[in-house]
Amino acid sequence: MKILLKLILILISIDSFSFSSEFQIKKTDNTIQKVKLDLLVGSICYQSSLGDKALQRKELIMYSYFGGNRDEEFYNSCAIVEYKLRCLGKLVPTEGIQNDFGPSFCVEPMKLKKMDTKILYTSFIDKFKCKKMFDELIRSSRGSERGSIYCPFVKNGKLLDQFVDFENENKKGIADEK
Amino acid sequence: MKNNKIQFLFILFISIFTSNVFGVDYFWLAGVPLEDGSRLGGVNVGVMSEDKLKKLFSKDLIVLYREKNKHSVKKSIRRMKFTDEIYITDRAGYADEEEAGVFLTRSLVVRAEDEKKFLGYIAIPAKHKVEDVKILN
Repeated sequence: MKILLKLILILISIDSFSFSSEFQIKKTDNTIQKVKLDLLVGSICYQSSLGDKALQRKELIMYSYFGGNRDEEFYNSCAIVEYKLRCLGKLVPTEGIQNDFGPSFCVEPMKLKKMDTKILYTSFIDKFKCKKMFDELIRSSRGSERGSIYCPFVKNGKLLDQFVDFENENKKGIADEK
Repeated sequence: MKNNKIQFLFILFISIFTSNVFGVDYFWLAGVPLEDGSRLGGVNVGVMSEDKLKKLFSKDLIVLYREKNKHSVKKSIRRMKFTDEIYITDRAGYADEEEAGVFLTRSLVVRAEDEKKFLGYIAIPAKHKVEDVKILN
């Protein structure tokens, strides 16, 4: 009964994640400009530096690229954001199981709670630098052996909208709930 | 001796021809999508250096384009102007089956007299003279 109630609580929680955020970005003339950006791509990984500890704490990390503002004034703006997430479901070794997450990932249910948000980089003019940083972060978080750590990608919020962040739903800021 | 002269002339002609051909800067057109659904005309300048880009600012360019009617394809040449506005369009996509990534297109905006009819496919700086366009397919 307790398990059932817990499951219901998780499932009825807000089932969407906001993919737009407002950033304060410094322009070349040193003035600060508020810019609204969309999450275009994210990659969820275990923190390879923490090794087994990350698995025990059910901690994951998501690096994300924000951009996509089509207003002429803010067109070339971008941001790179790091989210620390915790698995609310179980970490299940998925090796040999026919699903998308292997060798081990958060399932049953696949729900993540946002623990921390860190803006790593913002730029008003240089999307190439954002992209380079994003690619390097993904490469480093995957570890040296490609495929040893599985990092599912999130494209335009696809997949991520299955996740929930109910403990932070009233907080404002980056990636807060709708 | 005669053969050598012919050979020399032949090589000379090829050299002149290739230097002309490979000396032409050309650009694929890359429109800039805006918030309201409209598009600015532009050319893809990739990772071209700022210095090289500045040399193009406010210069004329020739856009080769074709218009499809119901029964025919009309080819044409149009003179336009580079601006000094650069936009980098980002979009999410899949690099392979598993990996998603960010793809960037850097465009230098081009102003046409009639913005709505910007339907070209390739552009070259106006310093090159274009007399005719042939569609080969």
